[in-house]
Amino acid sequence: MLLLLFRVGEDRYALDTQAIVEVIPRVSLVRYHGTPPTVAGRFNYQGQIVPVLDLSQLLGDKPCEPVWSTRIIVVNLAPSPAQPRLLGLLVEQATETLAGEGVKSAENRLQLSQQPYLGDVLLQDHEMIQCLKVEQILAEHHYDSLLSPLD
Amino acid sequence: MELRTVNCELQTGITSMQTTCWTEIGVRGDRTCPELQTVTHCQNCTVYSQAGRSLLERPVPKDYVQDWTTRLAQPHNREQDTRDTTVSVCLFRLGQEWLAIPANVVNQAGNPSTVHSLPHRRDRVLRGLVKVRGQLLLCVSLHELLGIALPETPPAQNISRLNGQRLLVMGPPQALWAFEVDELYGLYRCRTEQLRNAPALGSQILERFSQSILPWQHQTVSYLDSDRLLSALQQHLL
Repeated sequence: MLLLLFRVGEDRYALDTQAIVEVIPRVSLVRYHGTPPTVAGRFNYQGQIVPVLDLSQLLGDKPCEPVWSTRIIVVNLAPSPAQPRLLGLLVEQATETLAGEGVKSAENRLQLSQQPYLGDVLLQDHEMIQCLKVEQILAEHHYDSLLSPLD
Repeated sequence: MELRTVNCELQTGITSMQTTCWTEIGVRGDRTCPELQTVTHCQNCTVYSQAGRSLLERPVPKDYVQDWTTRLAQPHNREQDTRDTTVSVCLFRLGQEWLAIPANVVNQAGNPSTVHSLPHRRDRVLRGLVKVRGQLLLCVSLHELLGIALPETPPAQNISRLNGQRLLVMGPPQALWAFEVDELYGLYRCRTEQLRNAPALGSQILERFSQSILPWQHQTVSYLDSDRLLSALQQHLL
């Protein structure tokens, strides 16, 4: 298992790379009207309109800084790659990956948060890494409507 | 997953960095850093890589964002993947003849070293044994095998990045062959539609080993068939 690491403020988060299509630089986004600031906007990804969520805003109440290391992770939420349901995740400091073999899950899995999109907590060099479940973010915040309907 | 690397001016940023321990106690300094014992070179050290990463914490120019916005908006054509439509070859010169072999059979290239002849083998093709990185390899003369005259005088043309003689090692890992070339250009990628059928070349032996010819720098180069070449060498050994 390979994880893509990023930061929200000082905290480290990880996404499983299975669902990731591509990691791209931050592009200019067109805002949706009447959406909370967590929805950063949408952009044209190879002819397809892809909505983008700002994970720093969602998890840290602060929008992503416009620096080089802020990138958009394009994930495919459809079960098959043939009919993609793409979603962009705007994250800060997406510069490193982590091979899953080198880390271990924290033994006492404390479920401090009620948020269902927070997955396992991993330990690497005494630093905690929180895994995220992308599908659950959408379900929790009713962002499903941003994506094209599932056939 | 495809990670598009950020092409920024890393070099200019490093000079403005505050922690530059690699220029003081690291490999560019007096090498007194205790970490060097374990990491050997600063480029393997986490401090160095963290400093490199921190260069990405700078504002992005507007035209860069605009460039990527338009670039990603274009439909991606998977057919344009170059992997199937190009061949990678290694170009080298024997005598006056530029030749190419598939890049995937080339194991390594190095400086020529002494060839130790084998007792009771007086063979023009099989020159003997040569030491390459602690390994004894059979050294052959492709000049002899392909019927190319050895150069008598150093050539006037110097178009390669690396001038002079090189020892090339080729073949599958269990059966490596070393041979000297008079000049090595390096690797070159060629589109498959540019390859032409081998016409009647001057040398019949060369014709036998060529699978096609490819254009390169206003000249045509014979693209050797590595299977035929390796099996010919194998037969020669017996």
